[in-house]
Amino acid sequence: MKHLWPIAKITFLEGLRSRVFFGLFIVALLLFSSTYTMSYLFPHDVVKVAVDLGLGITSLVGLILTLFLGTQLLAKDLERRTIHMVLAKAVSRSEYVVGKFAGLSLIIVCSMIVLGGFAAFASWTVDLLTADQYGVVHWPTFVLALSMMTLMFMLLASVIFFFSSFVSSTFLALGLTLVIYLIGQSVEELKHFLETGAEGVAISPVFLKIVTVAYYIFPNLAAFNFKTQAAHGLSVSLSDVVWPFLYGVFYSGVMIASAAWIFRRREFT
Amino acid sequence: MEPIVFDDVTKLYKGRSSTSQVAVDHLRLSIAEGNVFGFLGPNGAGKSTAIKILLNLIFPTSGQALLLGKPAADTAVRSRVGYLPESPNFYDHLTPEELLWFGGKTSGLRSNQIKERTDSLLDLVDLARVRRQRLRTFSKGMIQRAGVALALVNDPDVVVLDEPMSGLDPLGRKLMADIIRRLKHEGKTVFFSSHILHDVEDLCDQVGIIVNARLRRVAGLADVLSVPATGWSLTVKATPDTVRSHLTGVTATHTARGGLTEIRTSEMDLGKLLDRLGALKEGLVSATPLRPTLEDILLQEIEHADGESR
Repeated sequence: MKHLWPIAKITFLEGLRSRVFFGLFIVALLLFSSTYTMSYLFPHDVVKVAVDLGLGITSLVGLILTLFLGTQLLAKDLERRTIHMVLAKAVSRSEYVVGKFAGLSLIIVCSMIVLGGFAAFASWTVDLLTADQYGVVHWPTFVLALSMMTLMFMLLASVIFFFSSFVSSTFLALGLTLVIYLIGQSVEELKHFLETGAEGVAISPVFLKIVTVAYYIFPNLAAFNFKTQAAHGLSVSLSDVVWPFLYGVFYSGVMIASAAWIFRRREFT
Repeated sequence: MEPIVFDDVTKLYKGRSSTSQVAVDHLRLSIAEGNVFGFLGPNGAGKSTAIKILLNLIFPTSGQALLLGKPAADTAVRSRVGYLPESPNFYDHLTPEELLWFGGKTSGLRSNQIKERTDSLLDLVDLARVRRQRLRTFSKGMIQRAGVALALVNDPDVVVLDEPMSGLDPLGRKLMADIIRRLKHEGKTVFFSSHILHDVEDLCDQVGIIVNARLRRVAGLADVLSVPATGWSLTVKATPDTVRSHLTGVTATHTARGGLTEIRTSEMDLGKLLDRLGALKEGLVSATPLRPTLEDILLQEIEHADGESR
């Protein structure tokens, strides 16, 4: 794995120099500027709304960025056969996949720092202009929410890499990842609802089994969502953070290892 | 040890039905160290497939390819190999300098070595003045030259070039030919496929002709081309009518070429023809022996292959 850095670096530069990247940041800036007017529509919860909106915009832009750059980075290499140039060097296929993932992860981390910075600035200025009785920003939870969101996008990027390793169409990889994202956001809630909250409603045991299996197969992305805690300043226990963190690292590792395994068997005509 | 060996390599592609298409059929080929080898064949003959097997981009169905004595699947051996793909596509967001940094790093070069190689190679391929310009602004010829620099950044022992001349203007072709000559002079082994037979005749020590997935002939270029002349072509500064009046009793054909006339005759009739043309001797522009060219040999092999498949 000694060639990870050169691959990660050119991948990072590719993301940084892409038009999608700049376009999204301009959109993000416009959205963040709307935080000021939107927050004051809720005079009693101005700061909470500002934090919630800021993190929401970060999450939305981060998601679009991960989906588009993630699918583009691998698919473009395969479509344009740029991969030939890389694999003709002393680079193993596993190094290629892991290096690309490291580059994309670096883009995600940097983007989240910048987007999170915008969100923090917007929340901070709203907090500064508002009396304390209308709420304050709880910075530790704010940073925690951003960090876990970053981890979630890295997990999603690993899912994109997994699909891109065997699907030939960019759109199919994008579509499949989007489906995984939607399932991942709601599967925990659905399972919880079916197990506890469906009073008077007959639930098929087969359906419950399917949802339970889906719960274990698909990534539970809701476990990385700390936006509510950040907005309301709720306390978060250590286990609420450690388990999703380990889960995210493990799930991403499995996805990337699988993608590398498939890549080792793939032919590049 | 031969730097490039194809040891009975076969590649089959499975079709939609149960049929398989043979892309390379039992290829057995070894290339000696320091040789420039020209790999010739029509489109779809299997040249690029063989090259991709050599670089482990695709896998043989049977047999194996060896590079510098190691299996093609050995990643480390590629740090001693340079490759220029056909119609190369590189990361166009990079500059030539960044591209060579990437090539150097992935070949295990240190930063100071990369700097040295980058300076000399960008001078060699005439891209020094655009070293910090992104590749997306480059013409096809410039991309090809950047690709050559990338292939050579690690000072490889073996250089594999897939159609290096295609799409280049005369100046670009000359530059590429000069680079191949220089590599030969440095004792590198060069394996290149080409459609431009003139370049192959000019540069190669050895040629291999592949048609319909099968290697038909491998020979030293001297052996291929040094066959006895089958006739002569004489060009004289005279009108066809004047020439015709001198040709009675000689088996020859003539064709007008601008203000000149080309006369073709057999080896046997050459003396007689020169006697008859005595009066025109001062107008003799050239006399060339007619031998089969590489193009004739390639076409002959294609015809043979077509005949076999019928």
